[in-house]
Amino acid sequence: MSNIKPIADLSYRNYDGPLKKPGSRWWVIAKNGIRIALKKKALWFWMFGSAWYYLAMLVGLFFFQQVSSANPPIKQAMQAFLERIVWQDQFLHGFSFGQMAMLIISLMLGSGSIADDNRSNAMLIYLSKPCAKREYLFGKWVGIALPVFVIMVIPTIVFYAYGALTFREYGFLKDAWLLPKMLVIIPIAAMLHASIVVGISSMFNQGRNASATYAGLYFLGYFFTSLMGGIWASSRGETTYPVRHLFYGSIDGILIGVCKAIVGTNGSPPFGIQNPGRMSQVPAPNVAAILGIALLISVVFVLIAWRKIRAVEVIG
Amino acid sequence: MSEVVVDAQSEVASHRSRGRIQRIGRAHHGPNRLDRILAANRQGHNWTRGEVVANAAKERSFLVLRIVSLNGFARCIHKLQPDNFKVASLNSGSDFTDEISLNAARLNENQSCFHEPRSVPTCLMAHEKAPGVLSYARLVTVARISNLTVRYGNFTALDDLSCEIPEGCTGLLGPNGAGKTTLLKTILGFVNPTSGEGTVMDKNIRTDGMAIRQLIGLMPEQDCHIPGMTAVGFVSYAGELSGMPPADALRRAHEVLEYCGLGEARYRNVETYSTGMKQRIKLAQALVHGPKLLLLDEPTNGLDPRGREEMLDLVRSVSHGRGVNVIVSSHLLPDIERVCDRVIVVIKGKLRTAGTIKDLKKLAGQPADVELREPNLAFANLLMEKGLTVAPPKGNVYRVQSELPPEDLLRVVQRTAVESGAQVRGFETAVRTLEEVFLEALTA
Amino acid sequence: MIQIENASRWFGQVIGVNDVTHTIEPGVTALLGMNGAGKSTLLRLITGQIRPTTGSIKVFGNEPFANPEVYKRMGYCPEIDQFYEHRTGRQFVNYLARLAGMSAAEAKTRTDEVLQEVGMADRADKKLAGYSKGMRQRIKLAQAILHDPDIILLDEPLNGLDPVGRREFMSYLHTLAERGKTILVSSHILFEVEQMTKSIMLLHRGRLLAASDVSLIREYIDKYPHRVRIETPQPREVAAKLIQLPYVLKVEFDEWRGGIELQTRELNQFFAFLPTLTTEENFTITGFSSPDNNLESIFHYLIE
Repeated sequence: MSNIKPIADLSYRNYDGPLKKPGSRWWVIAKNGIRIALKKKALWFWMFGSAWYYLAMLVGLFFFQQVSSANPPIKQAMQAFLERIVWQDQFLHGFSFGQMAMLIISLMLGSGSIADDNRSNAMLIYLSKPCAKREYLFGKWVGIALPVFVIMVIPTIVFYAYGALTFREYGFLKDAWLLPKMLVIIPIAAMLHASIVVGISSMFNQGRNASATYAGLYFLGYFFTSLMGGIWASSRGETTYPVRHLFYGSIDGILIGVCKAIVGTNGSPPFGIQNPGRMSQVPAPNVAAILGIALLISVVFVLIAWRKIRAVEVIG
Repeated sequence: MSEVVVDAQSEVASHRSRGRIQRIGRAHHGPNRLDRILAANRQGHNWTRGEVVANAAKERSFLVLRIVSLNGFARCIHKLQPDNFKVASLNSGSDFTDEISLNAARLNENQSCFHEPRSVPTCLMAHEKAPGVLSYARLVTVARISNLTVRYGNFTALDDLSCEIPEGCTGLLGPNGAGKTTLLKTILGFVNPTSGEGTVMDKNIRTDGMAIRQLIGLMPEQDCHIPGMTAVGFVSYAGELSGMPPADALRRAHEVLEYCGLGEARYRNVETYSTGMKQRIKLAQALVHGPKLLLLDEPTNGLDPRGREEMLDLVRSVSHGRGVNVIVSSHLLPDIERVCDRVIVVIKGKLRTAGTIKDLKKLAGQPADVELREPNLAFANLLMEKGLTVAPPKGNVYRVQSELPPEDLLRVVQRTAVESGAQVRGFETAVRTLEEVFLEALTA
Repeated sequence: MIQIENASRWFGQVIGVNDVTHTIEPGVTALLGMNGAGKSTLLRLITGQIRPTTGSIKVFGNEPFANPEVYKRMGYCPEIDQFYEHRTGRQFVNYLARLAGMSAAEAKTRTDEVLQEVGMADRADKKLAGYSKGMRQRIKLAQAILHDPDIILLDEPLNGLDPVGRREFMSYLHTLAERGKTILVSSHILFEVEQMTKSIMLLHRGRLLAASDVSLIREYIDKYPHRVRIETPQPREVAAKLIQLPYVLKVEFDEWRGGIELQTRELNQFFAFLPTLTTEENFTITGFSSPDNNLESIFHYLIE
């Protein structure tokens, strides 16, 4: 019996290598979800689409700066514009105008996350491995929340950096806490989107149905919010009490509310357009209240997902 | 340097290396005697004297020998046991299952036990009384269920079930809805029993579900692949879910897919696969993290005959001699016969029968099945006149009962056939089919 | 009676069945073949769901395609597993009975009878969504025999049934066959097919490889002579004796199990000779058999 074997034994070998303890599976699931989503080409389009306001502002400001250096009247107009613009509101607009695209991105990332697993019986795989339900859910959640966060945060930081470097004398850095505030708002938005998408995805067997449901809910709310905003604006704030609060009664509304409340602004017309005084903005809601609502909704949907993922029917 | 540990109480010699204990056999004479014999053979220079280590927890004492070469030690043992055994190779198995390949040709008297490719320990146990043969102190139990009762509301799925699933390949039989599925779920650690206890590989099913699932691979009955992934991606994902680091998972996924017979197809999307390939992927994802126990639920579902053979060969080669224990749940009894050594029959939540297939199939009295070219009444009558019991024919086959040994019975049968003008086309010891065993258990 | 004459059917460039000619007689016939060999296509041709591109298929003398007269005499139990999940089994069968043209009262009695025959009488009032595979198979069979057809076609009927269910199903098919019906079963599980019938149709890549009785087919496989296994403690002596026979082509020794295996083309002559070994020349033989005289070996040999 010698130790030299000229022909290798390629029959089945057992695995003796390292095995991580349970508790770290969520990252595997999240990574997988992100990888699958990144393969979709449309995602890249919507990523740029979600930052359209920031891009527009950047391009506009840059262009006008270049032009104004040669042309005095435009320079004057530019000065006036830069003096009256409320920088915080630009972030508000950048954030809120991108939400529609963020909805679509969240759906692309997550509508099939649990629904597809329901349909293809992949639950059998997940739950027969040492992977707890909470890890599975957390992994799926992170797989949506993390990319959403990254997609929102990058344009914000880019715009902030540009503004901080270029427009410091125009009061860009007046509010020193602006960036940290955005960095609080954006995770909250990511949390809200991810929680709702995960919850709705778990209710369906097909990603498509989940997408349709969430998109439908979102758009209904969006129209509702726009309606409320229009009523408020046209009545200049002199309207009955509920409208001011109902404005925030949709997912879009909640997100706008969170942003307004934390940034601490009531808003102003987008792109710094002059407001002749005929339209007024819906004032910011109470910080605690709006945060509480956002948290509540997130928790509700996550609980729905938790209930819907059944560990018992592993073997049919 | 490796260590050989001889357990004084059970007289088992184990090889300890890299923190794993692996038994290589029984020291037939106890540690002190062994010590003396080894001392006498010291010229081998393969080992140095160790010390006696008392393991208080287990109340045993060990004789620890530090050896340089395990092979040398094995040769040494061989000299001690002249009765024709030789350790051919020692596989680095897990600390759970013991692996040893024995050169069968060397075993003269007890040849028959190596003629079936069973798991070696079972086989050795059968012959532990034969002199000079290595045997194990105990048969390692994979799962032990005691008085388990599981109720879903009013419905009792398992009723005071107690069984032991030993290592090797076990088949799980039972009618639909009889508790087979619940038993499998219990082994996976999913079910909270109403009463009773159970351990799977020394881990409690009530509390250690996660740890159990680390050691188990499940091949489900339904299709369960994740759409949009390639086979490699899917299997390595399953590996990562089991806790393997990503690099290991990918490497191991390739290895396992190669073993399961998926060549270049592994880079294709799983949705494009045929049924046979999908079954192989299910097996691959169950094997990727090197489980000690494999649960297979209808492994040959939807496969054509060739695919069925290949799948059964795969399962068989994994389960025998590789340290992987297998539980196969299937309705196709010939499949189970081909792959498993033992069966457990669960009917209406209770354990009805358990045992090795060979034993269960044995018929009392060694009757013989005689197959003629065509049925011949004169033949049967003549046999009965000679004092043999002949059952009515099934097709062309007559079952003949007698006390004669087979060769003499055959002579009688041949003579009678020639006399009555029949032609004997087959003569075999009659066994029950597994189906008959099952049906008997059902009606008992 | 089903008559298939030079029937071919292809889908674009992919061949389904290729020039198949056979007559299917009353009794149980098994349709075998690998996945993708054309079994489902052939069944669809016979049930009249598609038409042959060339050649003809006649069921009781008529073409089955879109022919309600033929449909009335055929029952089909397909492989698919989708039902109206929200209905109960009884409602489902009743619905199909009404679709077959029975009046409400007839449908009710017939449903009860049929559910009784397949053994679902006590369990038919639960929703189909909760049924196990075996129960679904029985419902499928029930709907196939509702109108007492003369031809019954079954695609993988025993899938998911436990051994008891299998036995019951097979004996039920035998009863039906004894009543003179033509039953065509397509299956992969060879050992069950062996128990069900001796007459098979073997398809491979669209072509009909063999269509006859199993033992007859074995006789005709020239490429693989018959194998005979002999268990004996005196293998070399027995082999020496047997190798002198002119019709014994090959003798192999089985070290593992201790016997010999030989190949011969003349089974009759061989087995006529064998008694002399034990009775006259006193060799010790403990058993012998023909390991490749079964359906699985035939399948293997033909599809190589």
